[in-house]
Amino acid sequence: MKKFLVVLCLGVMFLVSSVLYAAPVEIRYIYWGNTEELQFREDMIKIFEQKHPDIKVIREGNPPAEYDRKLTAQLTAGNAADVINMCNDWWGQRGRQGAFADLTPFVKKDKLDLMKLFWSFPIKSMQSPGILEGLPYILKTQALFYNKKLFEEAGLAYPNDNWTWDNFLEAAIKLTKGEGAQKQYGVVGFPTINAAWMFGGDVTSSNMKLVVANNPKTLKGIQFLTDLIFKYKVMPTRAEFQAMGTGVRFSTGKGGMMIDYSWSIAWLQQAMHDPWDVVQLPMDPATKKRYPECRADGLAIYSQSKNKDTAWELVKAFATDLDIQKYIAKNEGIPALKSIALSPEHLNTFKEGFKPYNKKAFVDAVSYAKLQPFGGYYNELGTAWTREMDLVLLGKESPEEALKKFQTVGNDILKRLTK
Amino acid sequence: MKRRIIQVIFGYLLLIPFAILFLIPFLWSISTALKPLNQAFLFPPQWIPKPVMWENFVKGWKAAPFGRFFLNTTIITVLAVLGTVLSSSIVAYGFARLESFDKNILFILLLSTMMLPGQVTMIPIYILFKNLGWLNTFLPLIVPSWFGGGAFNIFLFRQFFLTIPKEFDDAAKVDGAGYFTIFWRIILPLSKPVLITITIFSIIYHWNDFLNPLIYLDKLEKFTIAIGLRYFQDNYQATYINLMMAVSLIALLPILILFLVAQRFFIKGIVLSGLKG
Amino acid sequence: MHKKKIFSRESVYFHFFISPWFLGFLIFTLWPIIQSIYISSTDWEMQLNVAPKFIGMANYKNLLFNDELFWISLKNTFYYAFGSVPLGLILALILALLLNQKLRGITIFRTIFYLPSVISGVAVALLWVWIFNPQFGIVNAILAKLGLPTPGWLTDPAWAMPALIIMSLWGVGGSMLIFLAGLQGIPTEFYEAAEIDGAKLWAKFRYITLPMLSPTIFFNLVMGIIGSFQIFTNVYIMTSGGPGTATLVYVLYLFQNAFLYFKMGYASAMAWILFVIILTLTLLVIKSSAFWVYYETEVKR
Repeated sequence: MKKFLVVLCLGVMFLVSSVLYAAPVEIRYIYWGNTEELQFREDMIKIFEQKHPDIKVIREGNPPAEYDRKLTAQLTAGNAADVINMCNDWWGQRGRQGAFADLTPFVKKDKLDLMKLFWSFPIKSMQSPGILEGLPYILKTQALFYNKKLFEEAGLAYPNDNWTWDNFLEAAIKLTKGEGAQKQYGVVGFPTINAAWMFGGDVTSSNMKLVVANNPKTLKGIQFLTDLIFKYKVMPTRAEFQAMGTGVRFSTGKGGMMIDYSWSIAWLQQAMHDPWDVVQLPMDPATKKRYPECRADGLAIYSQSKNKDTAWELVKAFATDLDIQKYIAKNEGIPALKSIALSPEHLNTFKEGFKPYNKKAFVDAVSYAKLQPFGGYYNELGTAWTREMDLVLLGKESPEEALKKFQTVGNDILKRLTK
Repeated sequence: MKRRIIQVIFGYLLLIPFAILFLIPFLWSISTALKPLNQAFLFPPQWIPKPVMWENFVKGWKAAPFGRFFLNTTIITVLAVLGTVLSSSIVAYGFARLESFDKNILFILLLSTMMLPGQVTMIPIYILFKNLGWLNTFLPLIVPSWFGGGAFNIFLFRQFFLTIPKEFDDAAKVDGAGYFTIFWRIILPLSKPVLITITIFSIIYHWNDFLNPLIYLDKLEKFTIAIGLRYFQDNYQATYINLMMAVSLIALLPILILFLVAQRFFIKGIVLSGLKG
Repeated sequence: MHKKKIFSRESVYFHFFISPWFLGFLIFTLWPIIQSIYISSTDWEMQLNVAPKFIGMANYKNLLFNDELFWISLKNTFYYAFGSVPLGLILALILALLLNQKLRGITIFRTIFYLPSVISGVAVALLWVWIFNPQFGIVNAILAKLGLPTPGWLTDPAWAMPALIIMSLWGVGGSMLIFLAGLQGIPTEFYEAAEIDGAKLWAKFRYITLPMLSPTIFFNLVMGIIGSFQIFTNVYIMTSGGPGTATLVYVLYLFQNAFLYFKMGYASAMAWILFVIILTLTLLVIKSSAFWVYYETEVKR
């Protein structure tokens, strides 16, 4: 009898202790990253794990070139990671065919006032009808980069936030000099989508059901871009770009200005020879409006995940945890949390080894931001756009023809995709 | 005598340009690895970096968990090579020393598998491993090597074993040795050149393997060096080319050292196994 | 000589010794081959809960008649093979001849030539991307210094494949060594006899060296063909098949179909067609070898 009681007691103790001792819950997180981004995510995950010792994050960090394939493989096989790194230009749940769970119930449960915490643009761009797909944690916007030394040499005042495209063109002309391989160009980077938008034009309708590229405002913008290359000769041709790209031209002092993204900052800090800075994109002289592109990286939860509640903790932390957001502000880029992004600490302190620059330009851009329509599900549309724009920039097609052709081809694609 | 001098001069004269051509990629990558980033994109390109950034090797190594990647690659390579050498030599011994009614057919079968492109079986093997639950482990990268280690290796071993006089076997048999003992105690020790050759070939193959780790591994902590180097390739326009070169050189180092140390045996092994015929 | 009885003791041991390979053959070769034939006749795309549907030869038909990229990838692969294999063999032979001299420090040269062929993979591919950079790479820098035109290499559809072929030449060390072994196996008596008859350098090469080397050439040729048709890693890392489709080689396209689009059936069909092509070419070379390959036994006769 005594033996039986002893065994019973031991058994109960064992049961109780195994209930009390919760083995950490594991969640898988799949993300992309080059060597720098890998480190950023690692640090962010570490901060999270320190605050949640009961959760273990399995890192599935992939080289950027492999991410899409890996994620599609996992989704196809039905065993995707619990937390998925995503970008707001992945356009709706249809972008990943029902891959993401709706975050709205989680947001409600934790009483997050999204519109107060974040800018409306990133949030809205992560919604598809009735479903919130992700919470943003970092924002990436555009600005106008300029080479201070070249401006001084040309006797020009630096650009400012009141610039219009007329000012821009004027400066570009004055900044272009020389010939041949060593020619200095006024403009060495100008994405075609910015050209399409610059005078208020659009490429697609806001509900992504129609391509509307063939309209006067879009045409005016593309014409401006081609004029930069062929009429004013202040921007390299497509062929010249293939030999030496935007980043390299700018960093070796062969370009006065470029429209580029906030993710180029880290690289420029190391690679740039001359002093430089950024301002907001120039405005349309008629309407005084500007249209920078904005992307937001965020976390989504796999719709078939078996650990949705735990996964939500990571999603929430990346987006709203003050320590993680401050880390992003200090090291990587613009944090999604408005309070941190607008804080003097973010705007005025710089990463160790960085030279100061006008961070505010990037932050201000979020208010005017636009979303490019070519991501995720609509990749095919992007390919068609690039094809036509390549021809225009090579001088083989006029902007009118290109836009007309793109509208026809694009609408066919959209009809098929939105069936 | 004069003829000899002309021959010698001519000989070097022809060799040196080729040697320079072959060395240039190495030298260029060393030069780039030691540059600060703002010198990597200079035109015209410069050879000597100033200052010489030895820290690029450290920075590059730290840029991704390369310590982990090296460990993973080493584990996989060691286990796979062990399997290859052991199993291919055992199988080759069978083909070289033992008789059977179906030996010729099986040997022809063996040879014909050398012509099969890996892609034919790649997909079903992937599915097999998936069904076994071996995805995201090292097993798909190691286990197949233990099953014969590749037809080519079996072939090389067999060719070499055939050159060992049968008298050695017979002497041992008289002393009562069984087939396995003969294999282990007589044949293998006599096969040092080909053993070293195949070991080295095998190490090189597994160390540099990119495709198999690519499709079988998911978790960051399991990645190999080959995948790790991919992190340096960006979607963006410019990469940290100097760090990339630095780590690439570190990744090449083990193979380089291995080769330099073992090349004598290595080349003898190829010759002795009668590859030329 | 033991009599070949069906279940002789020796036969049992034979099967025991070759069992690792035989098992491996069954599991990793034969069964996958059968499966692969089956898969290639379905439309399987690895979706969950969707059984593959038998569609007969439809995959093969689509590949051959409806898929432009199939033919492009085949053309590119032939371009690569017919560029890199002959050039590679010639270079390997030249280097082997140079290495066959009795000079001091010849092993250093041998190391320099052989080393590139043992280091392969991602590191080397990244290195060559940089070397071929049109603006900052060493190739164009040298060309520019010599006053020659500087093509766009990997950024130019017309020059991307030549770039890959040139890169393959850096790795001829393997076949070079095999040629060297072959050269060193030619009895010097032949050359001495020819000298006595007054033969010059070229005659010696043509009538002694080449014929004696023909088995080696044969071996390197077959290996070269088999290898060049399966080129993948370099293209995957360096160009992803671009620019456009200029370097879309067969195995890359196969990989894309299998692991990017998950059209497993389609990709399996591609694998089989590849096998047939390689087999055909190899058999052609083997058949033709009767005309130009001299084995020592024949010469002695």
